[in-house]
Amino acid sequence: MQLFAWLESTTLARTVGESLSLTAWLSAAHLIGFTLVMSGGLIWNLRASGALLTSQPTESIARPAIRVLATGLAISLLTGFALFAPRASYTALGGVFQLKMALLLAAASYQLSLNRAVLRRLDFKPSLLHASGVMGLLLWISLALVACWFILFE
Amino acid sequence: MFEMLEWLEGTALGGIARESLYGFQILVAIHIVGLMFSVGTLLWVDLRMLGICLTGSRLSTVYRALSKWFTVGFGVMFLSGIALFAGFATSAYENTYFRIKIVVIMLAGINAIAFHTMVKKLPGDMDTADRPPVTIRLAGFASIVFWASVIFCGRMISYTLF
Repeated sequence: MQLFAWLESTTLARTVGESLSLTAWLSAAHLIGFTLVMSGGLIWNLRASGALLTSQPTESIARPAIRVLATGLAISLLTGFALFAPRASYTALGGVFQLKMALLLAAASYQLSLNRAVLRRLDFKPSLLHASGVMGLLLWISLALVACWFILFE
Repeated sequence: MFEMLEWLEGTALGGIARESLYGFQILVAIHIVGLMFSVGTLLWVDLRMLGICLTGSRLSTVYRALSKWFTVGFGVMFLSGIALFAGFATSAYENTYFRIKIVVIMLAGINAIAFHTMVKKLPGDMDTADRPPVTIRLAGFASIVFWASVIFCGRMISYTLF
C-alpha cells in the first residue's frame, strides 16, 4: 500500500491526475495498444484453431503476430501504468482490475509459451494445435470483456 | 436535423442506451469487441498490402480469408454504434470528435470499397508480389491511419460528450 501511496505522489501521477485531456489521450492510446494486442492474439489463435489461412504454415503467422502483440502490449503497459498511477491505491484493490491483470498475465504467458513451442517446431498433432488455438481465443476474448467491464463499471 | 435527432433519442432504442440499468455498458462492450474483431483482423490485410508480412500468400487470398471476420466485426460495431448514437444523438451531433470520427469512417469506407473493387481485377504479378505497387501500399497505410484515428476519436468522445 505504501508503494501505491508513493506512486500517487509522483510527478507523473499528479500530472495525469490533474489533466482530463491528458487522461483522455492516454486512454485513447491505451485502446489503440489493446487493439494491437487483440489483433496479434486473434490472428495467431484463429490460424492455430484452423479457422483461417490454413494454407500458411503456423510459423509464418506466429512471427508477425507476436511482433504486433508485443508492440501493442508495450503501448498498453506504458499508457496503462500512467493511467493507473493517479489512483493506484483505489484501483489496485478492485476485484475487476485484479481479474484483468491476472487474465492479461495468463493470456500473454500462454501465448508466448505456445509461440515458442511452434517456432521450435515441436511436433503438434493438428487436433492439439486446434485446441490450443481455441484456448488462446477464449483467454484473449475474456480479457477484452473484462477490460470493457473495468472501463465501464469501475 | 436537430428535430430528427431528438426524435431518435425518444425512440425505445435511445431509451435502452441512455436510461436502462446496464444498456449503455453492454452496448459499449459489444461495440469494443466488434472493434477488436474488425480492426484487429483488417490490420493483417493492411500489413499484407504494405508487404510487411504474410507475403507467402497472395494478397487476394489473405483478403478473402479475413474478409468474413472483419465484415462480421464491422457489422457488430455498426449496429451497436447506431444504438449508442440513438441514446445521445443531439450531444453527439455537436461533438467535434464525433464529427471527425464519422468523416474518417467515410474515408476508410471509400478506401475499402476502392480496394475491394481493385482486388477482383488484380493482375497475377501484383497479387503475388512480396512488395505490392505503391497504390496498394498507400491504400494499406491509409487504412491503418484511418482506423487508428477512428479508435482515437471514439475514446475521446467518452471524455468530451458527458
